[in-house]
Amino acid sequence: MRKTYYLGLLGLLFVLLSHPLSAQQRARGRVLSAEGQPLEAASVVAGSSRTLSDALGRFDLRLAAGTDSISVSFTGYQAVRLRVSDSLPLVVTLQPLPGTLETVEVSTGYQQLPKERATGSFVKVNEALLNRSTGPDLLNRLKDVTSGLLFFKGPVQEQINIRGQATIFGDGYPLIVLDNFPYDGALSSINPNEIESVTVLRDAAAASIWGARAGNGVIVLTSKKAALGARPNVQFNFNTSLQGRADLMGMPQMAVTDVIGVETMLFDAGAYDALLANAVTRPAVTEAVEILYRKRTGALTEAEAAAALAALAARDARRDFERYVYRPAVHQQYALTVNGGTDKYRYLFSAGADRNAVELVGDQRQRLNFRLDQTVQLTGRLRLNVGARVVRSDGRRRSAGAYGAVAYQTSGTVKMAPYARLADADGTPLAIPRMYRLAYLDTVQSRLRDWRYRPLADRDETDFRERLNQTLLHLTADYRFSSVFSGSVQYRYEQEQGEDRSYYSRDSYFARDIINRFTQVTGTTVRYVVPNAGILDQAFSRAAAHSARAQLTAKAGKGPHHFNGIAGVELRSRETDLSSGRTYGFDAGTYTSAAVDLVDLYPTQLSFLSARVPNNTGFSGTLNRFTSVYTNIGYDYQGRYFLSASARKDASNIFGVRSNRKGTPLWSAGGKWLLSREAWFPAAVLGEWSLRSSYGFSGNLATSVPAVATISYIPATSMPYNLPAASLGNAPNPSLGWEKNGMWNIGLDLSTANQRISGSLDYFLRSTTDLLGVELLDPTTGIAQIITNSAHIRGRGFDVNLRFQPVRRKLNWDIQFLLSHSYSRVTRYLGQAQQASSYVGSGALLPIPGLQTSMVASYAWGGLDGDGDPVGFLKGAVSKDYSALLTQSGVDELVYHGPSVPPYFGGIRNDFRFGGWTFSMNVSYRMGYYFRRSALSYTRLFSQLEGHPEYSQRWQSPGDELWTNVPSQQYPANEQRDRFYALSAATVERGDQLRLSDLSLQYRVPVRAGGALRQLEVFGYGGNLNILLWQASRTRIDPDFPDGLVPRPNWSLGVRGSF
Amino acid sequence: MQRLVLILCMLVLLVSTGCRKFLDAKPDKRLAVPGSPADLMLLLDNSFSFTEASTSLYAHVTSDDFYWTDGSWNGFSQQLRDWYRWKTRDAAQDHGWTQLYKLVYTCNVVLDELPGMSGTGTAAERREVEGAALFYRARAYCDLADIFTRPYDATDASVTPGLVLRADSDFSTPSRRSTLEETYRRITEDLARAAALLPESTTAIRPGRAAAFALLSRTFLQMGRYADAGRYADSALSLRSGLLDYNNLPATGVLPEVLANPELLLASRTVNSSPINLTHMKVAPDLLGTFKAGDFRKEKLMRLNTDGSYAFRGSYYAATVNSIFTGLAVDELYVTRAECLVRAGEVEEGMRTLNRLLEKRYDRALFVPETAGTPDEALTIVLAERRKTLAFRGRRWADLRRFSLEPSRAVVPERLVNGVVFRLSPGDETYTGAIPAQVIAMSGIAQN
Repeated sequence: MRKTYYLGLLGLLFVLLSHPLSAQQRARGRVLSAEGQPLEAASVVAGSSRTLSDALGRFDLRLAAGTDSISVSFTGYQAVRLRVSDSLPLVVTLQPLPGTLETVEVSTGYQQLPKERATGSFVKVNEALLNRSTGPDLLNRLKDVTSGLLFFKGPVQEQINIRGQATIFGDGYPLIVLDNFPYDGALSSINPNEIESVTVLRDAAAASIWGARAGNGVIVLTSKKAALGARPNVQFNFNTSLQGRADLMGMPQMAVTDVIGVETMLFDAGAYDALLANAVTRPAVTEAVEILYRKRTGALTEAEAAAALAALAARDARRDFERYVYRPAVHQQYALTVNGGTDKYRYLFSAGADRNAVELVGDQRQRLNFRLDQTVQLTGRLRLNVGARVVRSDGRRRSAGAYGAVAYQTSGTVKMAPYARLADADGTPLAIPRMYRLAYLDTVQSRLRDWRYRPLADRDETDFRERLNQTLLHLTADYRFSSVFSGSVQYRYEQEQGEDRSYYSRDSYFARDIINRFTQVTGTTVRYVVPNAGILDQAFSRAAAHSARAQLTAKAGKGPHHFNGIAGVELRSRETDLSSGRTYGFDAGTYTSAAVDLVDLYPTQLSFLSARVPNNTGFSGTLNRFTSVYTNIGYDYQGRYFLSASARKDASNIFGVRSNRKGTPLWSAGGKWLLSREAWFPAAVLGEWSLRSSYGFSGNLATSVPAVATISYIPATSMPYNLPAASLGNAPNPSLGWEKNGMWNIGLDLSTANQRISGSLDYFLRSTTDLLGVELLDPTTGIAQIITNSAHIRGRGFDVNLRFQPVRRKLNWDIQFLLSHSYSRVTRYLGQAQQASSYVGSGALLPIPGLQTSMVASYAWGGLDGDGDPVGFLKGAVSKDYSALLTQSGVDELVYHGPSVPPYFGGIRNDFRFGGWTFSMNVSYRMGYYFRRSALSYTRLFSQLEGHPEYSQRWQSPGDELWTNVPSQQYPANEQRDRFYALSAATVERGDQLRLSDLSLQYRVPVRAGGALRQLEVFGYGGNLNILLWQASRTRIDPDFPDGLVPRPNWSLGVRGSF
Repeated sequence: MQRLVLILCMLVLLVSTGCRKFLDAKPDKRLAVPGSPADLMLLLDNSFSFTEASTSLYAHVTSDDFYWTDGSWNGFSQQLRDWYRWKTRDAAQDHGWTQLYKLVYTCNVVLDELPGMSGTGTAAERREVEGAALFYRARAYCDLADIFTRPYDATDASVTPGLVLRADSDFSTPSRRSTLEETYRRITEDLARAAALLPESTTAIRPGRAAAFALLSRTFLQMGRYADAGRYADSALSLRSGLLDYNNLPATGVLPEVLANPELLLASRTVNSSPINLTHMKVAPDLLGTFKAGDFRKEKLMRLNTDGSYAFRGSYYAATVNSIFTGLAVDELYVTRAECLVRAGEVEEGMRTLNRLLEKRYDRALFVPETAGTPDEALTIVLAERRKTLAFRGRRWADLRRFSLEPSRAVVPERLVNGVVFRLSPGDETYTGAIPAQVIAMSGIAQN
């Protein structure tokens, strides 16, 4: 470290200013980063006088008599002290501190701000941190390394929240901004290698500039920019990841013998009699039922049937799936970036290719990315930036799907039997029962085409491809009117073209099924209504978006006063179009098709009804438009005191409430105090400290709630008589207002003088008024639910982001500690009183007055009684009246466990550097939350053969109630009993967990200074480790993967560098 | 500097005012603010809400037209199992309230929007839209009344709780229960207005005047006002009286397409549900025993199963297996007219009406016209034929309710489930379904 302290001193490069020298000695020059970018607001100190560099990195400091040296410092960079020997302007190049994650500038999407001067709460993730992990997906790389950003596996899908859940409306997904404009395209199209940095806007001062769209927070993605350098700089990154074959056998599942036992019980009770007697539609039954049936008819003896069932019991479909359907996934990624240029012209070109052979045999994904970005200084005042981004993604699916997919189901809702077999001992594909009874299908061969379904054979007969072409063009013109004013006009055109193509060959099950159904057999003549050939489904989607922005920027300073401001207007329009259609008689070999009659009714096989050949034509389209006016103003005094304010107003064409149209101005204000710049501050010991605070609002609008009654047209092709119709749109609510999220934030940024400890602490209070939420209505109104301003909520929380370097010798040990907390409570409920049953579940979406948001609520659990029946409590007394328990339980009788969204979360990352080696390990944690695990439902077990691993723990004989909560088997099933148990406190688990999430190892290969090779790194990464170091729940259920199938880790190896 | 401020001001002005047109574009190409009676008609043409696979199974599953074996029953959803054994007092179940009031809401939206469209569309279009909305609302109330109110008894209808009558689509209006008298007055008045507004000629997939008369007739029959019921059956028959001759049906019993069936006044059918397809649903033996030789209602519309039981396959809604026809048809008018005539003592005319229908239902070679001596004898014959004609048509439940108030005609249907016998006696409270607990909790209206 001490050595590097002196390394910061670097030579002079060019002359920029040539003012005549005054009598007093001055120090003038420019502060640049190692990449040659000007550093704004770097602190330049000479004795008692100090100044800050301007936007171009320039500074001009009057030196006190007797002073002949200046020191230049900037957060995240090594401070430099240099002698001012003569009148020549200096170029001070600062080197970043090793391992520093927070570099200088943060982007709000409207302007770049030096973090040092920003009053808001920003989190910046730089390229090095983005590159710490691998994978095709950008957002995943932010997981567990970004303070305040929660990735959380919710009950339905993975959610991303900034500072917890502020709103309950819609998906709560943050706004994604890509290079200054909101990005509505597919996130999977973004290649992480194209991104230079990500900024997460956490508080009002940071996010309010996005107004009504910032309600769920904002994530700003900034692409790599063209850099200066006469010699082209070529960067590369190649890596390959391998993920082991899915561990299906490790997934808990109801025992095969138990499933056969249940089927036998059902068979004996006559549950399959109607199906077996059905001579019209011949519904499918499982192999066990077929064996039992043949035993009953005498086709099998008692012993033969027992042997056949025993043979079934020895099977496990998961073994076949592991062997024939799954494979290790391989992901290859190649990325190349070339950039360089001069003051007048700079360029960047990048290309990337991703190839992903996913875990199912026959499925793969590919992506190609190209990007070009050029900046031309046309005149001294006018600068143009032109760029293009082209992405092409291709997906191909030939497999029938993962274990448990619909394609393997026996019939409409009945699951695949766990003893199903996909292939015989030689690997020859076997038929599984589907839709129709196999025993019957064997008899129709002579008249019809083979009607059996062999999932593995179908892999060669179906081909689903999805293709997405995306083009983004942007143009920015910056014009400097004067030293104070500059203006810019930005325009972006975005186009997405998607094509989904599903081809079912003549021999695919899908084609054979439709062909057979419509085959007309009269005596010995066979007529095909649906051509005896393949079927092609195609869907085309097109999206085009125009975004334009005109912005005026002002920067002025006089003495200790500095002022900067932006104001602008923005228009956005995004149009989408979708069309789909089906071609019958398609042959991929000859590229021919045949006509088919979609109008007339035809008698169908295995049914005595007539039907039309299914039509698959559809069209839809959307058009969204937004206009916005915004401003942001900053002021600072002496480079020590900062003030900022922003305001914005949005309007849109959404058939919304009137307030959508006229918009509500949203604003924020903030201040910052650089304590360490005060003379009294012991900077030599404590280093740099600053205190900031902000207050302001962001909004959330209900895009789907109209002010007036709307109708939605239904195409004639979807209606039974080929006549058009319409349905009512969402219930109108003209009095709906915007949700307003107010946030007050206070933060401390610190970095000790020896840089051993640095980080930031933020505390926030949040108050959301008129929270948009779903309110259930009296069903008599005809409206089940409406979006209303349902509640006021208040919350608080904090974000801690600390970096500590306990060892800084040859071995460098760096600890990064992230802790975030977020809590919010419903202070006032505006809607109609709701029933207790509306709150019970896996995290209430409805606000519960006086309680935390997203509360997991349950029916109180009184255990099992001596008959194995679940017991609850009603009006203080034990009850087994499940209907009454479900409908008459009071809101105050429920058990409220806690929030379903973790209120505490974060990560602890340890980085060890030794020579060129870096080893890093991240542990993430989520605390204080609850989740509802799935429960055994006898209703679904009996009707859909949906087993549950806890079947083996069910109550079976008196006394079992002492150790189990799983109710006894009862036939016929009682839905309300099943439901009560599933929603009782017995099925809620604590989610608290500590997880080893990833490991990374990098080696920086020494390169000769000045050689062709500038940098070379070899790295390995283990992601998705999913090793639970600790969990609060005593069940061994991983809260992130409650169904039991925990993904295997993926291991990557790669090389990156530049020349 | 001034110039810049000016430019900025102009831009702001442009965005905030000049772009109103820019923001007037429709956000979804399929979404619209209804602008004409034709748009409103599209809402009523949405057969998936009003007619196609939409009406409740309640009135069918609670009827004694069929039975399920224990093996079948044990595998069905709790709701179907409960309906089957007349366990209708469980407020945890929604017996159809939500679904039917959704239709009321759609009709109310149409009726609220229509007056604002006086300038668009033709007068005939507006009349048809209003008539259809009144018709469908009245039908929803009829269906609701059959489930959620006590059978109509003129002696106490003015003090018996009726339905919640929603006058408009405003969801902030609190729900209040009317009396049964008010409920039926609303239904009959709305239908009379609908009959005046609706066109005479329509297809079976849109309500016309004959359908409105037929529903009026049905409603008055339900109220026990037989003279009115007969009068409106006459009105409907004067518009549409054509019958299908079952002699011409194929042996498979497949009826003509909905649009080609001359008997259909309004096609509609229940939601799809496999428990009522011919795999599970078996014709009740007591019903089966009443068919005579040569009766195509059994020989063509029913099918012998391998186990000796019969399945019903002759739905008036040709293209369905998993649902039953619940619409309005001409044959119902004949049996209603016959019943009303007989109840009024006009035995001869009543039997003539009945025989006009029956000659199209029997094998020509085997048909013997029905005759009766006394009105009571005649009524017995007519009601027996009514049951056979309207079997598997969703009408039996309403008839059971009606007969439960008439001691001489009362029926006590029975179910045998897993060895337990369930009986539905006249005056049983299970004739009136429980209103969902959620509705009670949120609206505060009284439970049945």
